[in-house]
Amino acid sequence: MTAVTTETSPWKFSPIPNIEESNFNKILERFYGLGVQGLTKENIQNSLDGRLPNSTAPVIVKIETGTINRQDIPGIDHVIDRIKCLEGRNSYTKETIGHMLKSVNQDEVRYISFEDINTKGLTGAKNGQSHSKKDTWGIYAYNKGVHFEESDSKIETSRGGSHGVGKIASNAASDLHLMYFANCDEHGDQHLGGTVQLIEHLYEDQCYRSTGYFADLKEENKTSKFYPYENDFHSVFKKRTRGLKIIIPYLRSDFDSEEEIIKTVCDSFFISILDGRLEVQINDHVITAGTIVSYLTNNQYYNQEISEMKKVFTPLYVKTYKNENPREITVSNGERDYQFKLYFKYDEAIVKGRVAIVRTIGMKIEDFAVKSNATKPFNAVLIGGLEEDGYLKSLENESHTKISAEDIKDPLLKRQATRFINNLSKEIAKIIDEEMKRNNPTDGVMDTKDLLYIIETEFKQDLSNAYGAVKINQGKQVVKTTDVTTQKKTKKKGGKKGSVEPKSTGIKRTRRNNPTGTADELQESGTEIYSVSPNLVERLILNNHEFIQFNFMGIPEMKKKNSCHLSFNLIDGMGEEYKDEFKLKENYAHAFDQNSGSSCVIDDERIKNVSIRDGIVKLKLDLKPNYNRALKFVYYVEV
Amino acid sequence: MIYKKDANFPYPVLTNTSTSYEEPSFLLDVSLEENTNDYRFLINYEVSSPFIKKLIATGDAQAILIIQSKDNKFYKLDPNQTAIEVPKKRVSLNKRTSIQLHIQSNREIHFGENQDLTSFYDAFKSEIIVPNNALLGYSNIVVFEGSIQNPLVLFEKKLDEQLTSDIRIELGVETIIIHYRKEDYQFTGVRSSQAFNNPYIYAGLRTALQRFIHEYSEQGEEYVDLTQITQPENLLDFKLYQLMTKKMVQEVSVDNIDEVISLISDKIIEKYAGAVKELIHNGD
Repeated sequence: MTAVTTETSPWKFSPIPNIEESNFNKILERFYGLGVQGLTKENIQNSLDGRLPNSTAPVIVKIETGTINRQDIPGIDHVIDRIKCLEGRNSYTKETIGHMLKSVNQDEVRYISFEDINTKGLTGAKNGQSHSKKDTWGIYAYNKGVHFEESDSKIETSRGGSHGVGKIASNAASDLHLMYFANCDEHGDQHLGGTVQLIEHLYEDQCYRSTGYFADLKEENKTSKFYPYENDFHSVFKKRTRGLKIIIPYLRSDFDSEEEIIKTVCDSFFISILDGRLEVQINDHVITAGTIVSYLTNNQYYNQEISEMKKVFTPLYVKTYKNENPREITVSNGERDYQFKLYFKYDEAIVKGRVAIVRTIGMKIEDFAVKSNATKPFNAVLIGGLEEDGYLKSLENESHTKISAEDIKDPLLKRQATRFINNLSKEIAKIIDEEMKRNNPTDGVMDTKDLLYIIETEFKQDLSNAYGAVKINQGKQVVKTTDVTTQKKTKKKGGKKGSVEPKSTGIKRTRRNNPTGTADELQESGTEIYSVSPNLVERLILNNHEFIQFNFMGIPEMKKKNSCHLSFNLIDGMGEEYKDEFKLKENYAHAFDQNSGSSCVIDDERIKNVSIRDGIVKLKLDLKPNYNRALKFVYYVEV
Repeated sequence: MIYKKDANFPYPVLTNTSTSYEEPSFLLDVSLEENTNDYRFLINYEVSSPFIKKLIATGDAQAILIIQSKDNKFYKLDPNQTAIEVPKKRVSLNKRTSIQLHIQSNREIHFGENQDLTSFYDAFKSEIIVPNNALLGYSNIVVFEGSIQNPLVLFEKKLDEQLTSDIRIELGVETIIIHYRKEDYQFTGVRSSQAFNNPYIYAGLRTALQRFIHEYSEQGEEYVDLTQITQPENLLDFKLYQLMTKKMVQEVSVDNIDEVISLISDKIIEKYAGAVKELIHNGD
């Protein structure tokens, strides 16, 4: 390849005599349509393909999204210069170039990177554009659509990629169609390369090809060759351990979703992860055999209702794969037989029956719908051996999302592929049928438990609740509750009744917050306040008088007491007390102590110094006209 | 509202803990029957005071049942009424549902003749006049504890390819047996295959009820009054009898047979229609 480019630019475009092609590479559009799912799948698959031979360590893929300064992106100004001179010749290219131009001025740029560990990385970077099959760097970096073949055919068959277009998936994820790849090989040599997918363009009076390479150009034997730069760039672009790191600056905002990436990893690679062959880190998330279930059972990522699993089936697949024993099935393409393992689960709750077709590297290709069984209640996972894998690979479409006969050109192979897919449906349909029959015997009791039943209802007579605020205790009127702990507690809570269960009946010690006196003040005055059970009170309204009688006979706290203060709180039927709402002076004109025959002072929301004679308090109150006769009270006595 | 705690009323109120009445009690017990549409609350209460009893009997006072779950619902009871029927959609039963019976005055009540009060009131009671719509007493609270569904085994199925018809309904010793000529007719393997068999269930119930009417109706009549017959000895008929009486069906006749089916079963056709719709919706 001869190439003369603008000398100083770190980006190299091959000069051409004139512009022939005015469109962007078509594959860009297709990968753009596959979204962040396609990007993630493609890159992880490449990492799995690059696993170290003879190693059992899982391939680790670190996915990172973040922001970098534009100036830290190697050679970015040169890319922007080129973009500025692109000329759209149809509405689609015009729109794309317009979008690129809108993006170039950002100072801070979103990026995503995929870094793999326990992988080989690319080889022969030092040889640059060597045209040797062994130098994978040269193929990866400077060719499109060339797929480097493994010298070991076993590895080659199980590889995920085969169309050689994976790298363009990364270009498609960038607003500028820009991607970098940092490599560290087994010798520790670190290099950075990159590509940008533009259109053929005129730059400084010279026409150039659409693809730009981030590479150095050296003249050798009168031909020029690309060589990679040694990696001394910003840390986002560094790859320090053996393996490859893809960096995509100007990440499209609709690709920038951690949640979607997590879901894609689970959806496409659950088998590799469950088998311990792959671990994926997405920023702070780590998905391993041990953690994947916590993502699958998380509502944020997956709907947990089986009846709602109509498009995404991963939680079902994982259950099927983990819990079911595989059975062998044989599928013929007419020429030869292929053996698969089928993990199968029958469950009436499942709305759509799908088979996950999985490659041996552990990547799911498709949610396969079995012909005329798409709504059968089952779930299954299908995995073959190496030969099966090889065959499946030949049936895959370019974006690894479907097996189909459509893309195959050879009419014989195409016929075989069609037969294979039909037979696959047939074999699985047989199993579905068997399981259905086993689960639905034709003879026996019919399940009508949702239709025909008798309801037995239970009610409980709740007598205790009706027994007033305080219970009668075996005929005794009251049990003292003033033990030390209660006092402390009530004091602390400043007015709340002690949380200790009242053993008492009749009256209960309390620290009532009253409008004017705090509990502490009351404490200082040396008196105690008790709430009075309704059972000790008789109350009657006649004309404009209210009679209230308290019976404190036999209550130890009230013994030897000759007088008390009384206060009132409103209470509703639910037992809710309303403090401070009822003002004595607004409702009562006078209070008469019927024991002593004298008037009582109403002050501080209390009726003061009411006499107690033989345990009985008798009060007669004159009502003011506005007194609401429907009100109900609980009473407090202070002695 | 339901009275959960006692409070001091300005006149005597009858409760289980009242100190205004001698030996007070006002006990309420509730049980429940139900069918597809309605609940029927069976109310059993006992008031200790002859004075209050008489007020209820004469209509001067009235018992009111209060069902409280999310909100309060009030049902006035006639003097001898012991049950109320409430449409299921009007009331929801759950663990927080509480029921209480109140007695409310329908006019001004003079307490002078009330011989059931404690002696405290002797001096005043001729002067006590309680206004209209006042609470005279309230019962204990009854709390809904929950319910269990006891399914009945009423149907069996059999595949019989020799059948001369597509399906055949046989009334067995204690079940209704549906014979199918083809396995396909059972909808095996279709999601919600059970619901697709509901029309057969319906036909089976109809057949069994027709025989029931024929067996237990009076000579020349076409209906059975379930309160008038003795429990059937035939096991299948006994199951139907049990189902109907528990589901508040009083009479089954040739004319109301479909209505009876809808009362004793839980939405046979609705569930069938739902399954069909779902199948269409999820179709390939």
